[in-house]
Amino acid sequence: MLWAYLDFTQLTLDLSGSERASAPAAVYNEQENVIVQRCAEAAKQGIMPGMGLAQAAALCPDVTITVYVRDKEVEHLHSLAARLYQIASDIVVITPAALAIRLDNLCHYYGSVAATWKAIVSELAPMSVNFAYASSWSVECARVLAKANCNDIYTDKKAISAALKKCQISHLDLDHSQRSTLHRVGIFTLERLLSLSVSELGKRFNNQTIRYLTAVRGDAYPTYLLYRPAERFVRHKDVAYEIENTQHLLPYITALLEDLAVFLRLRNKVVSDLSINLYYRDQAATTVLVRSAVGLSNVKQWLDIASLQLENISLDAPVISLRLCADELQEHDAANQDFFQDRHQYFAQKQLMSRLQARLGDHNVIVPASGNDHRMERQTESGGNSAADTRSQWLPAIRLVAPAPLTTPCHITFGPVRLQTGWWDEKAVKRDYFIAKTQSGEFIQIFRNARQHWFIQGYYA
Amino acid sequence: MGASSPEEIVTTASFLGYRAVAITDECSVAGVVRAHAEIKLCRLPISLIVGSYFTFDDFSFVLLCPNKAAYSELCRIITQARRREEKGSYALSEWDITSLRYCFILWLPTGSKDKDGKWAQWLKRFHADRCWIAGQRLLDGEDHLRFKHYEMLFEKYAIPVAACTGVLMHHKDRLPLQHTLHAIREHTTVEALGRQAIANAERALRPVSKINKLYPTSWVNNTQQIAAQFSFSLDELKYQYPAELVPDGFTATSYLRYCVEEGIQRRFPEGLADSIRATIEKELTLIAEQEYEYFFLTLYDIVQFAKKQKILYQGRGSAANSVVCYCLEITAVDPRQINVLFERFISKERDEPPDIDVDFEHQRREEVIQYIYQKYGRERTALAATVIAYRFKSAFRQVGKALGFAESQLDFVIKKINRRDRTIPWQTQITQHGLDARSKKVKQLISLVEQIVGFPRHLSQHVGGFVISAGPLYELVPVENASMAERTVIQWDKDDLESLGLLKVDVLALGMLTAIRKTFDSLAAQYPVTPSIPFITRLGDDHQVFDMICKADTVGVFQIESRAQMTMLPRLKPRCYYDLVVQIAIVRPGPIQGDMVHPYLLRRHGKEAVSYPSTEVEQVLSRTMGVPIFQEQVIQLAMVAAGFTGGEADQLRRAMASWKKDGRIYEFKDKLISGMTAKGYSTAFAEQLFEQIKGFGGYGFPESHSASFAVLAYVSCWLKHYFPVEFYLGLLNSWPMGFYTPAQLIQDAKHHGITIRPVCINHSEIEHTLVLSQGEKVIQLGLCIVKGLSEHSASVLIQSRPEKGYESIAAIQQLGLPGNDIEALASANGFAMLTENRYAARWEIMDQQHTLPLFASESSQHEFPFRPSEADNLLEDYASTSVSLEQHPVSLLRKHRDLSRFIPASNLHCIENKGVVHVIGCVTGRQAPGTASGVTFITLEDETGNMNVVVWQATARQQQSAYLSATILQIDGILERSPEGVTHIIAGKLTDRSDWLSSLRIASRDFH
Repeated sequence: MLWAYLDFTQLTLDLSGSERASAPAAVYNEQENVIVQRCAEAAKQGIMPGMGLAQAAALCPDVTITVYVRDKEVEHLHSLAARLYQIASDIVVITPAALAIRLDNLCHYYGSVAATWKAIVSELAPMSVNFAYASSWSVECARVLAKANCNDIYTDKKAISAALKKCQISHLDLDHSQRSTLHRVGIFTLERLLSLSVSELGKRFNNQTIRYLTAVRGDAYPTYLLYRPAERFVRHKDVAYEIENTQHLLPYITALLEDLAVFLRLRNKVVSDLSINLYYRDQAATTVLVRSAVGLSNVKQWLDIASLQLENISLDAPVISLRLCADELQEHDAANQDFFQDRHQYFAQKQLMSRLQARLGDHNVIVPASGNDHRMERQTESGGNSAADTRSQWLPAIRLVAPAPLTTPCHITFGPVRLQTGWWDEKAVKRDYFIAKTQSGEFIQIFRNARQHWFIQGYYA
Repeated sequence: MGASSPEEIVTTASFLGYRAVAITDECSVAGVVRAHAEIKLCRLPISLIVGSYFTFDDFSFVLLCPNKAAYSELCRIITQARRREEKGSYALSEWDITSLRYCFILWLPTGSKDKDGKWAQWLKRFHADRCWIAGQRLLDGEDHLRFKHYEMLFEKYAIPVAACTGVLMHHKDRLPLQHTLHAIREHTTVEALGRQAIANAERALRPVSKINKLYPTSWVNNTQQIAAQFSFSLDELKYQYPAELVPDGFTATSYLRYCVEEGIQRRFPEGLADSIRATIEKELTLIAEQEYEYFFLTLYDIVQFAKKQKILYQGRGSAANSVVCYCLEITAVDPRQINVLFERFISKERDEPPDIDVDFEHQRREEVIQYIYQKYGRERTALAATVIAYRFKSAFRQVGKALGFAESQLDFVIKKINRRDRTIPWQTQITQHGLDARSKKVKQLISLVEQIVGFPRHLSQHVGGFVISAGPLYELVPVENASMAERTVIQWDKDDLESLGLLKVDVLALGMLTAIRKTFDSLAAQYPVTPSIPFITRLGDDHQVFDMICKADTVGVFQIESRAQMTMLPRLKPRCYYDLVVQIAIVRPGPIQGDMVHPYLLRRHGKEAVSYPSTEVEQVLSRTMGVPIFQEQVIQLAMVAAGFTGGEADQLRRAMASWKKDGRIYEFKDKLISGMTAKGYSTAFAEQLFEQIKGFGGYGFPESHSASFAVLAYVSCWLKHYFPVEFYLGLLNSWPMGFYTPAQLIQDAKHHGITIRPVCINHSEIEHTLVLSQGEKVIQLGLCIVKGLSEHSASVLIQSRPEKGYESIAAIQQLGLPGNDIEALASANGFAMLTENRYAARWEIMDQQHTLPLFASESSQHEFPFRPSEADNLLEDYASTSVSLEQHPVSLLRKHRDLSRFIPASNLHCIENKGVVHVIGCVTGRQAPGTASGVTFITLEDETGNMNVVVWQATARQQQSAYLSATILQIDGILERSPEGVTHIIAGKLTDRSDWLSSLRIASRDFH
């Protein structure tokens, strides 16, 4: 076996494009208070990985700091893996920032190891990522060589052995105490380590470490979990005739939804977003997004929502084919089926929401919720939380978008309620609120601002 | 919850015409003394009601103290509630509140009929005549509901309603600060607080007219009637000292006199001069007038205990100004040696207790503390509190978080702000680090940080201030748990105690006393005469010791060992005890910033004439060549030249200490200047004196303090000169203490020709020991120097050691000690007697088969192939013990590289002044003192000694990397030598040579 190891040393920097800029930039791990990546310009100023923020700031006051977010790197790594999956089969994703690719079985397609490696490098070129690399008989060994910045694709065992001997103990994937243990018996290089017999090492290190060391030596080959791209549902269907009426699309959509239901059932998944691409003969395709408030797999439920949505669409041209995509599969929540929980209402509400949104459009469906703020303008807002608040008892049923000057004569029946808050944002208020009754018997909510001007805020039902 | 200080509350309440105000912290009376002191200081026409707020399940209430009995009751309840829980929280029991007999109760109903009904019945049953509903009108939209509820409770249970605001701030402007503090407490942002935050500023103090408008008259009347029933004042609190110290047949006064007379026999065996007898009588009279006898007797008892236990101690602070303290053996400073200023110690005008600090050996202070606890019992003894206030960094971080700034951004800015840079204030600096000063949020941040700095965060325990009373302490002040187990702390800090005239006994720890005692112990083991501090001081000034001091050979001694002190020694050239008193006081920010050092040195060396405007001034300043160096002199000047009374002068001293904070010193300016001009001094001289007083700031050093320190400084120098081996041994065995690391002390000992033997499994004890080798005294390092070796393992190793010593590592492994401990010993080369080298030892230890009974006798068949090189040994030595006895890193480098162009420290004297010089050494210290305007002093060490490097700010900025991170540093610079022979190297180029010995980690004292 021959594995290439690609160690993406500064994925966050590459992602932010800082490396290409001329200003010094560094990536900072907040949890551990260390600099973890830095660009060439920052390196010139003396910033090194492992430094604290204070030292880095003292060395280079102009440095731009990006906070390290592991998940972001992992996400980016997966996108790199997905890209490489087009040209290579056996890929191991080593989070947060490394990939291993088996080269020997690709020679059949590319002709040689060198050609395979060339293909990989050119595939990565547009991504503008920096990486250290090396190849060896195992992922573990290739990792050591890459960490040592060998940056060479070895095919010859002797060359690998020679390179390995030059590596330091610090390049091994051992924890700090194991490294320190080795250092403190004078074992600083792999040459020294590899010169010791396995039985002597076996007396002194645990099985896991010995297994790792044998993999580095190439005496054993661990199994690796290979990368598979995320699952998504995509089905294409040509229609029998050119369809001009959306209602006529429904049988085809039903067929596609049935396929989807099977696909989901096999995986015990549900989806909450679907996209339907409609293709025309001469025009660019259009995409209809269909959403449900809860994850679904049932054909009828999806069809109900999709048909409502399609009713609103007028076709500019006849449809010749269509495609159904479900990108993000969700786990089927078994708890939903709990016999003892009356979740019927919950689903009924969600389904109603889905239908309304499909019929009226997302922006036209507002869920009332009490905002967590004393200010009247923020007492109601659209959002998922519709919990009523006891304090809302004196709030008006209808609140004006913008307060209107009070011009009608009225007399005060309740108040004052004094609000002095919001100093931290642009909407600071200092008002006295009252409930007043107009001459026509209407109850209104009014307020007086700091300048003693009166306004109407809302009306009571 | 509050966003104003007690002082602000009482001042504003008084201004608004309130007749009384209650300070009611939650389960605490921590704020009442400040309010009380402010009322007294400003003579405010308002009475203070002492109280506290509590919650118990759904029952919230305020307890108020109408009389002393109620106050004691409140203190007891707070103490019980606090003692049940860990520091910072409390738990009431129903019994606590049921058993109330004297406190008034203001009840804050929840608004729930069921819950409140239950508590209303309970209140009627137990406290019918002492409870009110605290009726609040907060204009928050709930008032109508609350009022209805109050009326219902009143009608149903006949509990009267009293108007009550629940003040959280003295002025509406504090609303943003209140919101911010609330958010900080909830660990959230102001914005996310949402409706939890108060909706308006109605919980500020409101004018009386507004209160009358907002509340029904009957409620306001009820409040006034409650207030009228209060007669308790904190002034009534009187400290009852433990009476058991006075034997039968004596009164406190007569027993104190008896003890003093006995002391006179010991301290003045040759008889007493009239002047000193007069001082003693004056002191005793004043002590009797102020009724401080018990306090002195308590201290006397404590130091007598220490004396019996052979624990070294020394009184310092203003106590050194008292001959009585000298006679009672509380202090060691002979009043004949310094100018005693009694007013500094006790003054009638001040009506404040004397301040006596007693230092004990740091390793044995716990014995003294335990003695106090045992003697007086835990009920009667507790530590004073220290209020931990927001400082700039904590304020900036917490306020920033509350306003929603990212933590990483805040950290970044905090780390970049240079607080020592006095030219650019932090408010400007933050804009240079990415915060836009024009943005509203940044403006709010600046304003709130400015407001919050100095605000209390929490109570902590004082380092050693004990309060001891005759009866249970919790009747005087609440006691709560400290974070340290088995320690209790009262809710008042030392200023509060001072304000109320309560005494505390400071039991402090001092490392040098331990070192001196250990040195004495090893001397006692060798010589028939038992040395002591008085023994050494009685010998008089020793010119050989002062010769050593003048050469600045003072590493390890007390006080005069720091870099700044050592630089000053050859310039000041101390030749007698009093010179040391001056030396210690002069190298301080006060005299340095007051520009007093230079004139003093010029006059001392006869380069500038000394003149005095009058004989009175001459009397005060003659001992310091006309330059005021001590705080006492400033007080005396104010007395003799401006006609201040002793008490007024002492107020001036206190104003000096805090003038940057409150500016109260300016209140004395006119009095000082007019007083001096009235006595015929020129205005210029008066102005100059005032400026010097200001220059002292909070940094002035009292002569009495310095005098106490000078005794220890001299004694330690004497020991270092005559018994260096024992002295270094004492120091090393007392570590951690002092300015230098063991590695630095060992290097210095080696420079003095002392042989140090490395750690050895068969020769080392736990501590370092003195052994004789061919008639020479040598120091055998103890196991305590091995990093990572636990105390337990070390004692097992020593106890189990066979008479002939261990013969194999396997024998040690059989002891069943943790592997880490044995490995640590191996790394320190402790097994050198048993194995070829430390690598082989560690390799053998790593083989766990030896510990299995079956394989116990089997030794490894394979010889370990790797041997440590010299460099490896050096690095291992540093890693395991922070010091290498074999060789210095620089001497090792010399073996491997051509370092001939670098001048060793010992040869710097050969370089001419202003000559170019190249040096290399390990960085053992970086200091950037606030007084040095951006200059950093780096200490480099090579195998021949230390070198002092001066790095100017610009040089440091340009070469940040080497300046900040080098452990081995090359300096190319200019040598500068003062006429007195003090040598510095002014750094030009700094080159980091750490990679030459890359993983060498030298413990350096960075930026102290």
